[in-house]
Amino acid sequence: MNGYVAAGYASTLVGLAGYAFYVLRRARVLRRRVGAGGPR
Amino acid sequence: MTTTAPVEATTDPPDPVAAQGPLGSALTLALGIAALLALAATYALGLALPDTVEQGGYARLIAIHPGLAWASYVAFGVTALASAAWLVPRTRRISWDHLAGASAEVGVVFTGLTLLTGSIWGRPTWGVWWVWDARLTLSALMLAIYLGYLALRRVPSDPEVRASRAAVVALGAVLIIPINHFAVQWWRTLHQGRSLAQLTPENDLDASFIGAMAVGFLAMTLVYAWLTVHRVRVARLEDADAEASLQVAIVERRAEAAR
Repeated sequence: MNGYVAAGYASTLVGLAGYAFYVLRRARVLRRRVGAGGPR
Repeated sequence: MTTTAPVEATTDPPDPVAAQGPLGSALTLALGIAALLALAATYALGLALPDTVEQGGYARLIAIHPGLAWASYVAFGVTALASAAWLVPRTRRISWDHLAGASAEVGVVFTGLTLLTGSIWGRPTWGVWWVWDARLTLSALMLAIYLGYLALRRVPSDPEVRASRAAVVALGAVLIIPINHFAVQWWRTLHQGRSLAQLTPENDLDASFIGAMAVGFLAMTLVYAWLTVHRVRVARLEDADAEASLQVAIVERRAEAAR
């Protein structure tokens, strides 16, 4: 496998996984806040 | 002098979204697993593709690049449909606005990755990272338009005002999708023809490439759906958090005035 193909596949995985991590983390923080019934 | 009765902050009933686990309901968990499996299949099929006479190993990028572009079209199409649903009085619900905003943000991620993987593919095959070709330019313009849309949504305002102005912009912005899709037909471009046309039986693309590309389309659609479901949850929680903060601020101001 050449470097360009590896870069294409790897960047897609990193981009999607990074965004998924951000969304899940943000949901967890907000759920804690709203679920606790108290705003910040 | 007027007296002000102490006001308690109103407490909304518990948000069902807030009560869910980190990965959502069983249905969203199943969707996530399906997306992961489809993505794994895309990688396995794509990386196993043979070299081609014209492009050597670079043609393996066909499994992911068109799928990413397709998912961005789906995302912005959903944003437009949800925006239309918000603007029609009979179907007006704030959940349509949440879906519109969430889908646009996920679409921006897919568009960014489309441009990135396209650039990586272009360097060895065209000899340049970037060229002001119609398809590439319109894709970059699409990214800029939807970044502007997301910026507009962040302008502080009442949620209903925000939803209405964002919906109008989304309905105008979606026009770039057919223009971008047919750009390779309407103008002479360096970019190849429409990827969706490659999926028809009339083309001369090898079946293994068509299969990998088709699985790529499916995988990116599932990943888009899973990300959007979770991003909608975040949007609902953000609104609930903002509302709760507003209630507390009102109580505090009234308490100050009563002193």
